[in-house]
Amino acid sequence: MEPQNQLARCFSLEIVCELSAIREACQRSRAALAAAGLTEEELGHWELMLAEAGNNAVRYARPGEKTTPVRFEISVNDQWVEARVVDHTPGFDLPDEVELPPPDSENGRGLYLIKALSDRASYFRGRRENHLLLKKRRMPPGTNPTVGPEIADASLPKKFAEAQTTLDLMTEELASAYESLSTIFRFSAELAEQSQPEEFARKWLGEVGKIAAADWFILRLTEEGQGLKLVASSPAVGLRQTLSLGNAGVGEASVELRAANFQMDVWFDSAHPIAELDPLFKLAGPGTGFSHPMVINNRLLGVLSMGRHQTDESFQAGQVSIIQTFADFLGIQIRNTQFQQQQLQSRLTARELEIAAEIQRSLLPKKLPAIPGFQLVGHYLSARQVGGDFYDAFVTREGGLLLAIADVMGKGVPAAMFAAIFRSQLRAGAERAANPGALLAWLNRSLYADLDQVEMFITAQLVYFKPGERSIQLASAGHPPLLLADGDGRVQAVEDSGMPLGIMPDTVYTECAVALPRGVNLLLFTDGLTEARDREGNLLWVGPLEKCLARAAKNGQSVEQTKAELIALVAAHQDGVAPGDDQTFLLLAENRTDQGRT
Amino acid sequence: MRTEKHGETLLLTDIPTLTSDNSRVFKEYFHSALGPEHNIVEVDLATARSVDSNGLGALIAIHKALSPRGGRVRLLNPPPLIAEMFHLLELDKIFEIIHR
Repeated sequence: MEPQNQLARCFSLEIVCELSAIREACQRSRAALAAAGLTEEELGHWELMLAEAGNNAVRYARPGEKTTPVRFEISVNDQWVEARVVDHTPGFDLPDEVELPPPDSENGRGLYLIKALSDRASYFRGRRENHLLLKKRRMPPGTNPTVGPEIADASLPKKFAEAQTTLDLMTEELASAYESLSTIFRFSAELAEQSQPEEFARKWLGEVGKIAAADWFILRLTEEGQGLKLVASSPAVGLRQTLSLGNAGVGEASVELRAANFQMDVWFDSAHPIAELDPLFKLAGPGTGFSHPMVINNRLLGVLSMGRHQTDESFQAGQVSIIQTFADFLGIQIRNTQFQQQQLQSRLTARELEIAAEIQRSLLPKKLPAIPGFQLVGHYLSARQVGGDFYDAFVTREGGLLLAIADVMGKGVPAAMFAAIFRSQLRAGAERAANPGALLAWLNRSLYADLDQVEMFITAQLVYFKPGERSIQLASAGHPPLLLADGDGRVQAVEDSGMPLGIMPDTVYTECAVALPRGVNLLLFTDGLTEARDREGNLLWVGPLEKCLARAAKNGQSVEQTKAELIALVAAHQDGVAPGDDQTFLLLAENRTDQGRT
Repeated sequence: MRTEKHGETLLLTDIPTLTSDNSRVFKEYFHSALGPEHNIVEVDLATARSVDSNGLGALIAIHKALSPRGGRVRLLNPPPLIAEMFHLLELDKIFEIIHR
């Protein structure tokens, strides 16, 4: 370990790649710098910087480079001291700013010291070796601080050689960057023709493997709620088992899961071999390589692992850079594709709902029939874009009026579809309208098979009214009772209910005849009204509806006014809370002016 | 390197360097000398010519060994450059630095 070139202001030395040699190298360097006239403080700083640089060079040397010496080259002039430490590690990115580790951490302060004590620190990664360059202005400051270090004439040839080496390293790093960029451009062009990133990955991973001189690779992508699922591997071996991200036991052994869980590269080599329990061992064996997590916006998308079977040939910095770049690029493409698919799906769903909502609106009668002496009004509010409530009113061939209200279990497109089927069947069975119980039984038989298949049901209420007769026929299939108010403000809930449609195939529905008092107001409604919730979750219940209806009947209000009051009543109770269910009602009221009352 | 024991205080002294080549030995030496009665460990750095980040790691390991039982580490008489390093790394917040 004798200085090889002890010129007056420029010298170098090589040491064996062992921690025990660092101390002596630092002392030798200190002695040489002391001879150049550095102060004690400067000597202390340089000794510490060189010790930290040397420690890293030894500690992280590649397994196959443990016998290659670590080189120190130092030059000094009146204004500057410059040191170059040549290592044979896989290299690293020297950040512009190094953060201190937590106070109780026993490691991680070396780079911080180097950055803090030097005026300039640069790190150049090469294919065979890496150079750490450190510069520090001498004390007291030189006479021309804006000019860089002046090199003594005697050391010029060596400085030129060093500059050439640095230039070579920078060129190599640039070439590596160019190779990465060029690869990305080719990937991008290809990606435009590939719809699925997975297909793209399978095709191009082999190419990346060749560029990086890898013997094997494996790509796993995250699957919602599943873990890391195999997408591609080379050679293809039995690694189909999905790695569960929550499996702590396997997580400790699996290099891929450690990379995923800690979201950082995990390296393996002869010093840190893959455990035989690790599923990756089957592919990688006792080799070298690393697992790289693909993380976009803090979201894990997958893990790419690449390696070599030889234990003494780890990847060069440029090759690592290409693998990482490809993985990150792939991650961005996957995320973009997922986002586009979500957007497309969202647009398709919205369009489907729009169409379904339009169909459902078309099911509701555009104009309700005019009944002499009576007013009729309907209301429908969907809790979602498409709901399962439905009402209808039409005059039968016999001149009677059929009022129908129904609520299909559930909401959205399936509920709307059954509402449409219900309407067409209701119209088809209109000849049974005078016997609403028989009509419900017929509807149940018609719809049972379809409803049963999808485990849905419909509640419905039918009211048949023949204006000349002051009574109605009522039948109900699991629907809330009908509210009936007379002109004196008395209200009764009329209930004669059988099972909802779609529960039993041969259900018999009874029907009851209800006399109509003078000034009658009839309200058919769905449970979306009585189950409207306020901010505390309290239901409206039927009481307020009854009061509203009683007041309307007593006052002989128009149905439009009563409708507005009912809507306002429910809205006031909800106090801005969005309805959780469709809200539908049909209101029939006797025209009081016909009876000479106001 | 040698140790002195005074009641609850364990003193480590005559430390020539605390660097990568001897930090592990230093930790082992400390653990072998530490008794259950020692709640204070004093590390006299007056003779230390050099301390690097590995040496600091060893001192932090001592601090972590004592903390659970309420003990503490005092660094005695560090030379100016070493004291500056403790300050630079903000370790003067966890070590008591005393000049006697």
